[in-house]
Amino acid sequence: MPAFDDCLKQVMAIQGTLRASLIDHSSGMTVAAAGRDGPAGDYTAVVGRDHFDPEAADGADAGADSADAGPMEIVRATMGSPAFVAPATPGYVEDIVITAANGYHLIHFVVPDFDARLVLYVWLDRLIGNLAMTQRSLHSIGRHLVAA
Amino acid sequence: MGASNPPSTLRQALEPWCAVGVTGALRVEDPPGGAIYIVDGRLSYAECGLVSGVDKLLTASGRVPAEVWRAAVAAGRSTGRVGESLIADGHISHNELALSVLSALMDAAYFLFDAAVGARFEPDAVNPLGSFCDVEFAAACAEVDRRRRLLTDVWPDPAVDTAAVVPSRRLRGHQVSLTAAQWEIVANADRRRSPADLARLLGRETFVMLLEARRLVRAGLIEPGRPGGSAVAESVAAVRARTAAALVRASEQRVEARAAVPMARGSASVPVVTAQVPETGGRETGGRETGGHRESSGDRESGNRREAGADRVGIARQTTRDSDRRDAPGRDDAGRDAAGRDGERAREPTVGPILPLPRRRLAEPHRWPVIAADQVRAPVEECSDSTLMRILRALR
Repeated sequence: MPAFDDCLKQVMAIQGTLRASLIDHSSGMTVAAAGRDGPAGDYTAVVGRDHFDPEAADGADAGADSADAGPMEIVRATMGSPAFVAPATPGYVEDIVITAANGYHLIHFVVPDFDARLVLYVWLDRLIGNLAMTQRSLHSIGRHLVAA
Repeated sequence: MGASNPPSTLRQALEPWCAVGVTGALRVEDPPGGAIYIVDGRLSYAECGLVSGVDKLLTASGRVPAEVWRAAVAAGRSTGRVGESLIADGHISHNELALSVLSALMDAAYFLFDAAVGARFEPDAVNPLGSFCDVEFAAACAEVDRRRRLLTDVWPDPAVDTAAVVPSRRLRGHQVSLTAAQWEIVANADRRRSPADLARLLGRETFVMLLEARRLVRAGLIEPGRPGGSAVAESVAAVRARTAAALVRASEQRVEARAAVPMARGSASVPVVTAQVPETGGRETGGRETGGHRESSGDRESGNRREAGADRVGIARQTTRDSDRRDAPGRDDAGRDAAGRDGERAREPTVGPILPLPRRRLAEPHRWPVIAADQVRAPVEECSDSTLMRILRALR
């Protein structure tokens, strides 16, 4: 998807970014991705990728078929949980941050006008990356993505 | 083998065009209708009568007013610049349109790729909307397969997709939490509309609505009502049924063709081998690589023998290797030349009786990885007994 490559390039320019992807969380489809594939496997079903490797896709097993499957489960659990909404008020989740042994995982919801279904997922190195700075840049990149 | 047969699904018809890297449109001629647009061998757009296209996604959801869309289409259809005029007039951003186009493309691809329909290629046809997406064919196939797997994982009964949505009147428990898409399903269900109808009504992707509806069924919040309340629901069901039938027919023909060729070559030796030593049947199966799979899938017809069948194939393969090792020196021995003859015959070109594949296996797409969970899941795919579903979920 050339339309989203600029956005991902900006995200990958953030210091310490290991992987960046843009996910449509309503269907779970990875719209575009850049950087390293997830620790679970070396195959990603990225619709917007330039060089898709069908051999790798065939070898992958059904459970861990994508590096974005993990973040998608988190998004799904968060969206389905009543703990994160005010009762009887429609609302948005803005960010999810997971601090894990292999780095920070940031999930930023690109909210307005997009039917609220795009998610920016960034995997950040713990030593090099700066969590707060990355969060701020993700907000501005997300806003820019909607406008462009 | 596949080269001599005409392509049975649209996926197979599409593949060569993408591989060559042409520009044009593959128009679907059979009932659901639709087209897949290719630019330089990459998919740029797909539309299908069953799902909401970009027009529905944008207008029915209220993102772009219907008259604005009609004006843009009238202005830009002939030049293929409908999308660009929308962007230029500031009604929608480029990225948002690209995302809608991608959603519509994958949504149509989900229904079209595995449908058994006739198609005609029209060179140099371009989408009037303009080209906002390019998706590689293999990536689109992987995404379609992922979607199919996701739907089956949530709830394996496809009848839910085309049955009327009936929300439960009374709930057990104190509260329930819904996502926005689930709320839309419940709020717009009028006991006639199926999930496929709701998607067109609301301007959402059909796949997303099917997924959320299956999740609601799984949670017990809605129940499938009467099937086929509308034209869309009926045609979704019809396309699926016809595809399953056509796939079975095509593969049966393929199996018959495969069975006919080696039989003509060396049919004389088959009965001799099987008559002399009873266990050579197993030995032969292990001897060819694809034979093991065919044997094991033949056993699947009786569910509880499945594990035993898989074990037997594994053992048979081992004994083949053992017997081969035994046979090599055994040919020098005068007393063991009978065994040697058997071993040689087992190594002759493949001439076993070939069982037709069971139907269930053939109806599934070929790219599915054969995993244990799928084998458990497959036999109940067409069953709507909720008790069985619950047992299955507990087992997983």
